[in-house]
Amino acid sequence: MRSYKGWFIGAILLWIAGGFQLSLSYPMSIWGASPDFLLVVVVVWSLFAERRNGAAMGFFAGTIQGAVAGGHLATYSVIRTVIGFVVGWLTGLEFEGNIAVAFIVTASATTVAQIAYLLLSPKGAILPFLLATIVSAMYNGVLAMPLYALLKKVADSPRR
Amino acid sequence: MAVLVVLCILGIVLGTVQNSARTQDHVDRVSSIVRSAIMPISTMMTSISRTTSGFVEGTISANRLVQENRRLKQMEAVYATYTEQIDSLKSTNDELRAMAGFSQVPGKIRVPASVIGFSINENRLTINVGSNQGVKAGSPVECAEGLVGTVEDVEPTRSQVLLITSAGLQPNSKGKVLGGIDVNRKPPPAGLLRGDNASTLTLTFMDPKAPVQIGDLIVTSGYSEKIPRGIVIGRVIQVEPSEEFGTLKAKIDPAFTLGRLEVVYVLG
Repeated sequence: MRSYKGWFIGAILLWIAGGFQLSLSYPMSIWGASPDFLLVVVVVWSLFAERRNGAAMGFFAGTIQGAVAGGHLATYSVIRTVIGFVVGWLTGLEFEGNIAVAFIVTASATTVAQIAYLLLSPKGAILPFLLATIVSAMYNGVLAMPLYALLKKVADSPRR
Repeated sequence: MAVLVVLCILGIVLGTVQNSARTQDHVDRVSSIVRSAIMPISTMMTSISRTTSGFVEGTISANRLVQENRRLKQMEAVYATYTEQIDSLKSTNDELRAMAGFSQVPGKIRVPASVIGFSINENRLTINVGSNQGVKAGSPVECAEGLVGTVEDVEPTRSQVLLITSAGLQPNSKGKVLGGIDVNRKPPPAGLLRGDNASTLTLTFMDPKAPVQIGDLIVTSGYSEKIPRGIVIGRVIQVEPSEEFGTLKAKIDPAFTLGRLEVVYVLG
């Protein structure tokens, strides 16, 4: 993805995902698991980016998440920065990206993010939290697939 | 790698600034700017979501809604006849308290608010009223079913509410003592409430033989400067004596249903 175009698209996606996170995440929850729109954007966008850009995207997404959720900014921004960095680093490896990869990477990133969150902000009831994490991982993975297809189309589109 | 380290340090700095602002009952600048930027799209999405679900529900259960509407109109007529008497009794009560030198009962001012955001991981709600409408940190928030939580972060036009199910809302944290009494018993035993960070709360009674039973109704104790007595908290679903600590713990199922929250009231 071209640098300026990529960042512009990333900023728009973060803004929309932030609004969705606050207003639609809970109403869209299934079996106590809600989608994490901001994390989906970070992971899918980072699949088209270098690791440092992925880290920056993760940082911005974490800051937005922490601010809108009223959570601890450091917890969210550090976890998502690391996730963006790792996904960007994976992109540097030689592999063919497709929607199945987007699903697997997003589901894995969700699991890691939730477990890291559990360690940094301990919860009262761990088992329900872990069960919800598994459903959330699947949920986010499914959401990542159309977003990946969309970004792939944008990334592959020829420059005018 | 250097970028990663710098961003992580920056994140920690932001967290420190946020903590510092919170201890002074303020909202940090970064959170405030981000929320202001996100709020327009969030409000729009909330409105679209509610309109759509309202339309679908209305279409499916139109007949039931018509009957319910009739019943509510009858109830409103009955309620109107009592309102005048209650207002008169309240003003007499205020005058007597003033004459006796007692402070005013909290919760007399009710600021209506719409829920514009949910943050379930953090057990928080965002509502569309703030300091411009007279909302203050620590004020209780209730809905028709009962107590929802207390106001945590206040900005001019919006606030964040910490749910009563949050473990952050616990005794001795910034004076937010939340007590509950069992109104089914005489005299009503009182205990301290603490959220479990799930969908339940724990009410701890200092008396291990407190006469509490499953199904009992728990309301606010009124042992607080800001939370008035008598707001419904929920019902007891489990009773567990803790002989080790000489206490009795009761699990409470809160009265409010999070998914149905649209309008709440901030009590002043």
